[in-house]
Amino acid sequence: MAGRMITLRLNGQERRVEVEDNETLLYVLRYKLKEMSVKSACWKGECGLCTVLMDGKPVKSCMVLAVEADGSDIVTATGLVKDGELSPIQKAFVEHGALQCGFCTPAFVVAAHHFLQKNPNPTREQVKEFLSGLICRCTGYAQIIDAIMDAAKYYRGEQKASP
Amino acid sequence: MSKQAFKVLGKPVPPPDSYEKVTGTAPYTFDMELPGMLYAKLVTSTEPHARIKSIDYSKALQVPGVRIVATGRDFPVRIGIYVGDRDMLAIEKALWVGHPVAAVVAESIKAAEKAIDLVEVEYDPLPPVFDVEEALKPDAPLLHPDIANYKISPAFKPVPGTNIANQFRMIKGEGEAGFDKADLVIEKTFKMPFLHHAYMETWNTIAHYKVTGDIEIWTSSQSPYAPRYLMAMSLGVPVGKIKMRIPYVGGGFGGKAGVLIEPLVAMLSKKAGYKPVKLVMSRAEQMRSMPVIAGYKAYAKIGFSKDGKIVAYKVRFLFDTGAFADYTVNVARTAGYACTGVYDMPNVYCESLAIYTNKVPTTAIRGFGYPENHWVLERLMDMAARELRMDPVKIRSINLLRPGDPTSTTGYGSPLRADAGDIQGVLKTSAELIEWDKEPEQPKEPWKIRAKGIAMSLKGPSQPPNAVDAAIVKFNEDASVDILVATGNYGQGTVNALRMIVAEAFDLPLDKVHITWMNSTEWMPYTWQTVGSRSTFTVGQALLRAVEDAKRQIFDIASAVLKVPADQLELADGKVYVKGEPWMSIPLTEIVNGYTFPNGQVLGGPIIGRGIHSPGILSYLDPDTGQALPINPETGHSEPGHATVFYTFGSTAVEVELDLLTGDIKVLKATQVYDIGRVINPLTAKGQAIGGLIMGMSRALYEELIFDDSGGVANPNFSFYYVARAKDIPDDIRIKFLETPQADGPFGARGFSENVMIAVIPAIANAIERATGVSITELPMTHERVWRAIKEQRPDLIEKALKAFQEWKNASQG
Amino acid sequence: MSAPYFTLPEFKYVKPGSLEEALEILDEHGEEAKIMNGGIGVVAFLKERLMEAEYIVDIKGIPELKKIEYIPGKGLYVGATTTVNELIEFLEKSPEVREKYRALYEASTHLADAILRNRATIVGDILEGLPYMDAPGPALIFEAEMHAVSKSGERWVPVDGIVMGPMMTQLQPNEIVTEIIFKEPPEGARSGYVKFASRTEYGIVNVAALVAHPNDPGKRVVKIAYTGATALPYRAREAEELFKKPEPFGKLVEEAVKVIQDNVEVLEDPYASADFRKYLMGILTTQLLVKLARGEW
Repeated sequence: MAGRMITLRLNGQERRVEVEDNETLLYVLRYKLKEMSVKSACWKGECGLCTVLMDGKPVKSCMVLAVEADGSDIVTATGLVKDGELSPIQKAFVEHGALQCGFCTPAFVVAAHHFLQKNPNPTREQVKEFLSGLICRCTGYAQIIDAIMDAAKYYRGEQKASP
Repeated sequence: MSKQAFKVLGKPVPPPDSYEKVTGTAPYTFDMELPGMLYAKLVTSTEPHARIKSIDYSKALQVPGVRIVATGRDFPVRIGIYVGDRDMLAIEKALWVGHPVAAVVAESIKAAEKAIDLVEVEYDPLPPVFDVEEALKPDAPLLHPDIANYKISPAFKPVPGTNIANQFRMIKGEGEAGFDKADLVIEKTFKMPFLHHAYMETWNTIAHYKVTGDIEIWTSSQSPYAPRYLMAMSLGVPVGKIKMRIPYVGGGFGGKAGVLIEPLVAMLSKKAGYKPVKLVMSRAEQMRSMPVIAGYKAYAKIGFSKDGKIVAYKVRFLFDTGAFADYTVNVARTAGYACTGVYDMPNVYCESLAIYTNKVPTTAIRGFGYPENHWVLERLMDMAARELRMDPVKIRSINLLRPGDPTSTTGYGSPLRADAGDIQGVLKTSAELIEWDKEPEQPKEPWKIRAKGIAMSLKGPSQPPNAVDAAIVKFNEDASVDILVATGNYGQGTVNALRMIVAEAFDLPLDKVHITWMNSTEWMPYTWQTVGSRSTFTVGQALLRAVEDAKRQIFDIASAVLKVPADQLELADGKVYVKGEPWMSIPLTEIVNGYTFPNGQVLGGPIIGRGIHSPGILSYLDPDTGQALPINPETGHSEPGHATVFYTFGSTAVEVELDLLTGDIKVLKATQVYDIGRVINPLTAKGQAIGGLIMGMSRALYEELIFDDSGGVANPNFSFYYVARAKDIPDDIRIKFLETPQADGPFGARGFSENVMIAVIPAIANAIERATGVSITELPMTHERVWRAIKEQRPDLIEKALKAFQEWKNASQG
Repeated sequence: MSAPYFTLPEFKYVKPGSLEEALEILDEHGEEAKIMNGGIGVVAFLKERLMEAEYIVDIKGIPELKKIEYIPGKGLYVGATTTVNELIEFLEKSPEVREKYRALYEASTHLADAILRNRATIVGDILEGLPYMDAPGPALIFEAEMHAVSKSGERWVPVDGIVMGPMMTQLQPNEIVTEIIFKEPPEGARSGYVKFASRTEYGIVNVAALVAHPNDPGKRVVKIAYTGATALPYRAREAEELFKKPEPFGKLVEEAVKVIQDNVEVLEDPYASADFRKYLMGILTTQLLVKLARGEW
């Protein structure tokens, strides 16, 4: 099968890559663009660990064809790091112990970042509901929710992200 | 409780690898690729029990990119940590639907996936057996007729000619005859389903079998040494030729203990022409073809005196190990020897069988027999409380073990250590945290009830008596320290805790103590395994000894330089001081690579400390009596043998809301109390307690592997094997740790990261029992199961609820 | 749902930029072409090897298929490629429309999860045809119809009866659904949705219901539909008819539940028995109808 060239912005950088029609975005991100921060634990849209922001919205990249991402802007957890500094949501995850094995963490971080951008004044209930498309087996979620509730202040602009 | 002043311990310190994890830059085996790497994929059985007549893979080999196809004939080896019953690819017979029968190796995963569909397997079906009690019948089909020829660890006793992979018995006092003295006898049958660990990173391994005979492995395993040894034994390869490397690991929960698929991938690498090969399980393969968690059926009987004292206990566990018992024999044995839980019982008869069936095989699991035996015993305690009209806290309190007393769970006659923990304090604190004496506020719908439930737990590491550990500390030029331990880091926080222990012991700032992400048999000293909540305790002790060893070397040098006896020196703030004369000191940086005199002469050399932990007090348990074999005085120990190096006591209490109309159970509040001896890191300790709580809740309410008519797993995915999501967790979670130090624990610490899920499960059912008098004995507590239990045991409650519902409905016509 | 594959079978991906172009492709390739919308169903079915396709026709490039429009008196038009989250956002910004279509709003917020809803569509959810989807119930009570267009013409197809099973619909292979209309609910109607999941991500019983003028037999309208409990979306028409009788609402609810339980053919699987599903239908329907009638939902 002949491949085709697509162009996308990955974490702010323009990337051209040859993909085949039946390749998922997950496959291309990991194996062709070497973006290993995008994990997978089910390959079926259940666990959410392959979540990336596509044109500003979280999608499960195992359920998206790579060709569909032609021309799109993709952001992963790696892309939230600016000038070697963790973003406020990443710092909050670290400080609140919101991770253990870490395999789900990039997905939770990038999804939470999107969520807080859209809703910087969330209730705990809203955070829980939003996170329910993602599975974390280690933490029991409570410290993840704490981290997100705490990081919200940065998104409200109440507090400047500082080292 | 001593309030020592610590500089590092007791502070909430995020593990240093957190930074890599939140940025997605932490490398897991899943992320690793090697030059020229090939991809493997499994072909699995469609038959539950069958002789394999032929495997035709000629068409598969024609798929472009396919290199080789292997079958059980290529590697006819069996492997296993306790019972060597596992094959890597089916040897002659397929034993369950999902049993790997062949493996394809190709240049791409796409080619491999195309090829597996083209492998044609011809089966000659044999009668299968799916139920443990059927499997025990004399005419049952045998899964392992050759078991007598398998490699079996000395602690285990399969029964050749049957499907019994291990049989364990424990007898204390008069055993069953003890029931004669009982005023109340309760008999119940309990069930637990097969479960999946649901670690997020599935099993995956890269193996490179080299032409030199060296084998390099990267694998998502909990520990490097045990799989290496087991692999070497089964393949007949010198153990030192195998380099087992473990990068970050995406969760384990016991499901990555022992040996995984490393031998298979190594042999595929060899067969494929010494090329590196990677095998990654899909979730469906993981749940249908790789080891899961054993289910069981248990017959239990407990006798009480009028005043609520336990007088006799009998339990018979029938563990369903599936097609391979491998590690599960020890889960079953542990459920047996620890069957008396936290209680003192004069008369005990306990039997625990591990039984083969034609289902997916099973392995170790977080908690390892304790969630299993506590589900029985902690439920019986509440049933008894109800019958005797006693408070569940009270009935527990009067039956609790007393530190220092002999128990059945610590080997014959060997006492529970006096410093084992404040067991009464745990119960008391648990009751206080949930506000046990305060009635919960009832919801306005009369068909809903809120109630509180409580349960206790104990847990000790289920390790072989000869499981030993070593640790090394070595200094860098800047007097910072590298810790070398083979302890697995899959999220538990242990390695970070070990780092804190070393920083405290050396009086160094935390950033001067380094740990590394890559664990390997090449440079980490031996550790038996990272399992069983054991590592902080055992490796922590080894590290403290390593610190002492290093200090001795440092003081030897400093003593010569300062001309002061070594015993008058102390180490603090990165300097060696003379006690009481702090102006006399040498910076560590001037010692760690030997002290250089002004004339250029050097005294001593690099400082490397070494320490071990050797659990001399443990001995095998007699499989017929459950009692520890006598100790050899040569070990320096004189007391009778113990079953574990420590026990940790805990308790979970919950407040739940039950909807009588739908069987819906919501956990509104949950409290966790553990006496862990010393809180080394409150941040990660809290994380373990919450994580265990939610895993326990998930097992209590949702999780069950469902089998189809041919014994295959019917729900090998997260849509139908539901694990708790964020929306399911209670908002009100309270965690409290008691700190009764254990003399030999590092700074008094005991392990606890499995205990945290044990009492959760019965506590939820106990709340239901307390509110309704309905005894739930089968897991998970699904809506329908709960609804049926209420309907059968308390039809009046359902009627009352329905009547209230009618009234509520009719009120609208008013 | 137990296939072991990471990869998808081979197909050609096409993304037409106009409806005409899309219809041309479907006309030419017939059954060999499968329409992809949000892709949740298509990618899942392909991965499970439950679907084969020579061509995957991505309709997200057709501008007019993205649409949300409420026309008073007629209904709410939702384009085929409009995502569930786009619909939720629209309804949250238009509280009046949201209250009219409360059951649709509630079903949307229960559909899959917040991340998948950025791709999932209402039309796709309905046409997937699995028993436990969330959108069909509200579609039935709002008498929804899908606009199906082919080279030979166009038609409005009622959602009730459009699905015949997983990936099986009454639509022709050359037809594209461009939009769905949820018709204007009766004046004064309130509606709601209950998803009752039991150890799966999906509901074992999902109820959508609408109630208008519960205490005025002359004007009273009740509509009830189910998914999850039945193999296909089920509209309880016989039960709805009962509410034309002059008896009090509460009494009719009881009769209606009985009629539903007597007539419905429910699923039995390891997640819930037929008995339990039937029983739950009664409890959940009663709760929903009574609360709607009282304005407590």
